[in-house]
Amino acid sequence: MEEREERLSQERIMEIRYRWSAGPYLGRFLAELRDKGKFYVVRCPGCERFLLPPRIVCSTCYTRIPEYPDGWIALSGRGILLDWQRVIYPQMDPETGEVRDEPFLHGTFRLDHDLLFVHYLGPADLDEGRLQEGMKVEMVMKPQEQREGKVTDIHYFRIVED
Amino acid sequence: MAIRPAIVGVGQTYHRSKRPDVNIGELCTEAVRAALEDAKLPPEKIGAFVVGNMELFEGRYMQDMWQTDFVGAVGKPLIRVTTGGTTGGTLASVAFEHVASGMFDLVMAVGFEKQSEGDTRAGLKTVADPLWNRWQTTGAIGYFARVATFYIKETGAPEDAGSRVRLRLARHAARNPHAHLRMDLESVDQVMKFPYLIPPLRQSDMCPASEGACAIIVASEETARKLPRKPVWVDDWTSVHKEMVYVRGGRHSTADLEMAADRLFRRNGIREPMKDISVAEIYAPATWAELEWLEAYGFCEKGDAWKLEEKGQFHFDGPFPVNPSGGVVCTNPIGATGLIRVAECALQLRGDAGEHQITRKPTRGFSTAWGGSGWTVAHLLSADGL
Amino acid sequence: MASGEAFVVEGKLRVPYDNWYGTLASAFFRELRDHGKIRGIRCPACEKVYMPPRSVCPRCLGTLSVWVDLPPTGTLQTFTVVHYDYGQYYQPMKPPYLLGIIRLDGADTGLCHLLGECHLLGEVEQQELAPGLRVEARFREDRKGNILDIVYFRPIR
Repeated sequence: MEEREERLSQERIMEIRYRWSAGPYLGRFLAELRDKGKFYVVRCPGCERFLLPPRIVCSTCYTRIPEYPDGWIALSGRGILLDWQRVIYPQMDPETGEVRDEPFLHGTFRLDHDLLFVHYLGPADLDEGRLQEGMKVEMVMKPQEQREGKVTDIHYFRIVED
Repeated sequence: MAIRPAIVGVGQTYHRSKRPDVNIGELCTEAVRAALEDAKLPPEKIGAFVVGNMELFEGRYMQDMWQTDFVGAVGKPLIRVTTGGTTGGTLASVAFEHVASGMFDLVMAVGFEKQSEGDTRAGLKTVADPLWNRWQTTGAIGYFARVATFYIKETGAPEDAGSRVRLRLARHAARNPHAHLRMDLESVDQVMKFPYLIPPLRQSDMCPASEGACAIIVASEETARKLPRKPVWVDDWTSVHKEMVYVRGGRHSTADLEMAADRLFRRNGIREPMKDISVAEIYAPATWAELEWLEAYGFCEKGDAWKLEEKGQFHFDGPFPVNPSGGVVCTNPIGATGLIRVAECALQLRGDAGEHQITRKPTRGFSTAWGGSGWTVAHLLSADGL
Repeated sequence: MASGEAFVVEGKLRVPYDNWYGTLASAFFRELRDHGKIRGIRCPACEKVYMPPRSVCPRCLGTLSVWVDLPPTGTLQTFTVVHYDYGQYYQPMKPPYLLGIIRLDGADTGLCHLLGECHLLGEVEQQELAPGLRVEARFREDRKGNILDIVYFRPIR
């Protein structure tokens, strides 16, 4: 083959729909979050670890976790900011095939019982320059009518002034 | 181990960000032909095949069905292995297991990736659980930005530590004809001019999206001794999964790397890894990870890797060569990447690495693959006649 | 959530792809697009003519490079009717439609699904279809360089 010949490709979009079963543990967690704005964790009766999100079995001691409400504990929604990153490079959303290019902040938070959780840090006009490790944060839910039974029903975590 | 496996042939394509001149099957054929040529074997001698790549990246499922014709596996046993970032490492492990079991005498492992055909960012995001954290993932770049943040915080490494790693890898890659990014980088200052992806992670700290393929041929000890190439012995291998995002909440942890290396070193009487092992080809997709992971594997104390880097200890002609191929930061065709680590280690132990051959006497090699934020595959190889 | 009620999350994947034909298949599709011509490739070892063409012999891993011009006519090997509708991204048109495996005159492949040319059938009643039916390709006017540049195969009247 000569070097400069035109090379062809086929462009296409693959679109597949899914229905994911959340199951009685994560399903209950998402339902409580959506309906009551409550953020639940469970405590493993075997090793006494707190598990986030709630699930059927402890992955290290293999103890079966009871279903809601036995051993389910609602967190306060408050915590401490550990670290944060400004995501500035474009992200493709695999649900839409669209590229999201506006920057946003991700934070890691220490919640009750030393549980760690990563979520958006907001609001959008938050001044990144004043962020400090150890700042107090709290969970901000979306308005009831916008909630979908997803973790993103938590709009973001905001800084709480002392 | 029942039968001792040996690597008797390796082959890889050249790697670029785009290979429109070949389709997926043809890309694999290039690596397969190179491996057969290296082993001086005709295709019909291979008894079984293990093939693999990332799911979703090229948008073709049951890739094994299409690869069969192009790797020479028609009518033969072939299985596909797809374990995310570790795919290439797992391909090698499964090929070793095929031989160790006594089932097959000659087995070929083939890994490839053609990243420009799909969207790696979207592909990587689908790794995450759609019910829990798919929305929050920022892919590999987000993950390694955090690795860099933690490394600086925990070890007091200066901001240019990652750039020093890149400078070493660039120098190595420039000597490796197969490497993808063969950039002429001469100083740390020059590397520090690359833009940030997510501070403190720069573009120069992160691996490229490459297209390429790699193949290795594994033989039983008996067969290996009859073949023309000097065999490279496979002493041991393992893999470690750790608990995923649950509980850790995305907190960074290197438990999988520590467990994998510790297990291999202990089982094989390796007490001073930097002394007992002469070359490491580690799967670190970012410069900062390379520093942190050398410590996690136990090659040096926590917080020392960046200092050893400053002293030039990890250069191909230094006392402990790390990624003399240029590593993952210079070449990353994901499904092949872990296998390239094994292949490059084998070349070093054979003394056939050419321009990037280590100057230290090659005795034992350590290769790894890593993926999914929580899985390590590790192999321990040794040179013939030790 | 009442006990026993399932919590189901609706989701989807929507990802763009751009798959490259490679050098050899690009030449095949350029010829089809620019000249409305179909070419196969001959294996120098076994003399078989592959259509669609391929660059690597699956048996000896040798390179195939001898092009063979093929006529747009062939023989229907077998056929089926597709009724099931599984979405715009995966089907060439809205069902029902006819698919046939056609061995072009001068080609050796076409008998088996994996190597063969499975294509749409048109200008034909289902009752007329039978193995052995002589068919010809109808080419698209505005060809784009993919296999649907052949609109369908129709019986030679």
